[in-house]
Amino acid sequence: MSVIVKMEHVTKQFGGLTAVNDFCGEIEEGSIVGLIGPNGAGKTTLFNMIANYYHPTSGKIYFNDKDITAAKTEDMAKMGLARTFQVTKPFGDMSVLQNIMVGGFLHISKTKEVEEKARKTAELVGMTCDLDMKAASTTTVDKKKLEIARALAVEPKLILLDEVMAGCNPQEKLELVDTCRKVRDSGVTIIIIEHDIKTIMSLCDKIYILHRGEKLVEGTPEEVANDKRAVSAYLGEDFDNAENK
Amino acid sequence: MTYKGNSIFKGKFFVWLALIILAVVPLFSGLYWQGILVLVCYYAYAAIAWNFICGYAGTMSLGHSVYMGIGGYISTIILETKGVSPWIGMIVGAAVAMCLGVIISYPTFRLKGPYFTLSSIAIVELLGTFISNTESLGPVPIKGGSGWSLSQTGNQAVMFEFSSKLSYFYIAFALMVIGLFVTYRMSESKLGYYLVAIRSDDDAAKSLGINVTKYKLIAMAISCFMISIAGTFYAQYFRYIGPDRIFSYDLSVQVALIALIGGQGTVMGPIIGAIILVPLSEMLSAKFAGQMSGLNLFLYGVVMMLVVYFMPHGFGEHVVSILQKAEEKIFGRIKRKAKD
Repeated sequence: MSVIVKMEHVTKQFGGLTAVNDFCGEIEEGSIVGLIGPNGAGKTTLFNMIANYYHPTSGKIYFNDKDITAAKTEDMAKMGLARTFQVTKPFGDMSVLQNIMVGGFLHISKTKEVEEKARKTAELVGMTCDLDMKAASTTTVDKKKLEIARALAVEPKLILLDEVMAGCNPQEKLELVDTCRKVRDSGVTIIIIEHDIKTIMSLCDKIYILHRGEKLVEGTPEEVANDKRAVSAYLGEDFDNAENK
Repeated sequence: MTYKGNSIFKGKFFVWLALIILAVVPLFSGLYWQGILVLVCYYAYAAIAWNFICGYAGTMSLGHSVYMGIGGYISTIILETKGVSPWIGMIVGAAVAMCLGVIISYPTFRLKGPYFTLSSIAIVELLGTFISNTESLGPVPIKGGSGWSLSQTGNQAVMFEFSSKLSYFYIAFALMVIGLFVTYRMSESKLGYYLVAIRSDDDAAKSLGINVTKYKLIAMAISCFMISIAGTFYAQYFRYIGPDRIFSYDLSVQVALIALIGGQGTVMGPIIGAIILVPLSEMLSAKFAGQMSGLNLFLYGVVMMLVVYFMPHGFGEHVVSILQKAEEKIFGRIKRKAKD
């Protein structure tokens, strides 16, 4: 499989603080990759650099073999990269359907066609609410699903999901895991930030653990779970026991 | 009422009925009411133009009368000095206003929220002061603070001059309907969706590939083009144009308020705002013109405060939803009867 994102020695400093330090990594096309780590480890900063919301202080990022280190945020969608936000940002004045349509207008200009496509996207992510409802008044899960649907509407090759499951109950998390798998099966690569270890272990093909801005461990879920450094820094001693129960 | 899919015009029947009534009323009313209705359409049209960028994209401009002034001045100057018909001057003025709008907005769109608003006020004050103190600009006469009184040549349609108020009314009315149609088409298109998205959250908009500055500039250009035509209409209707009124912060605020009270970012909002506010302000000032002058402004202010307090999203939403309900009731009954 080919590599869709390649990061070479990526570093980001905010004043004196180094949020991400010398990060190297490769994301394979068609996989689900998890980024985990304690708060302040630099996960979201790394995300924002891939989405070109921030630019790295040093290092290079490639997307589909193209250097995107200094690209503009608004050009990323056209290149095939979409993202969701940790704090959901629905267009509150619009309906759920219209929110998704905003994404759809990137490739199609006919309103009717965009609407039809948006309905299909809503179905794919399993939106259960009334699509004509105002986006601001939907539930947390639906807002999370809406973020995913809106991002998918730009027809990305890669989607960045920033803590989409935070604030959801176990049942809703299962639904979202299911949504992620469906999205991957439709041919979209996923990078996901998540705190729920069990969810991420079952969902991802590959995991990066970040710690204080540096890459601590990378590997398949099994490799990571058995790594001493990962266990002591983040997963915790109980993790092994929990798995064995 | 922007939220529901394609239903902004679902109360269509009553919208059309209201427009037809508005079009017919001046035929049977006296000069006084004809005058008020001209102003209703004129302000509605200006507010529609303001709403096009400021209502939809949420860039609160309080200096939009600058572009009205540009339009009015250009058509007037070339009429008075070269004898060119204002119909042509109107388009020339609109084109200049459009270019100027884009040039001014390109840097000022970088300013966020209140800072953009402040810059728009600064621009109207700046241009107003400049025009007031300039007698001529090279070979072009500006006439400073005294302004231009347009020469009277009689009833000449080609020269945008009419002896009856009714003719002016139908011109303003046509402008308003065109403005309404343009806004409706925009709100149902990519541009409309993008502008509302930008208003809600420009970071999220960018993440969906929207070039925020580009789409705001497109909307600004169209808005300036439209509002500049209102300036030409103003000059032709009142036969006078001067900096104190048209290049003023007051007029800009008045136009913005009509759209805000009616419902910014909605298709019908500006018209509903004008229908309510313009006659109200005219009647109040007529009533208290003699003895208690100033009381009219006080009452006008009270009405505004009540609207803002009880209907923060404007009148429009409520009016449209009442009309829709009425329509459903009436037509639902007719349909049911037809089935029986």
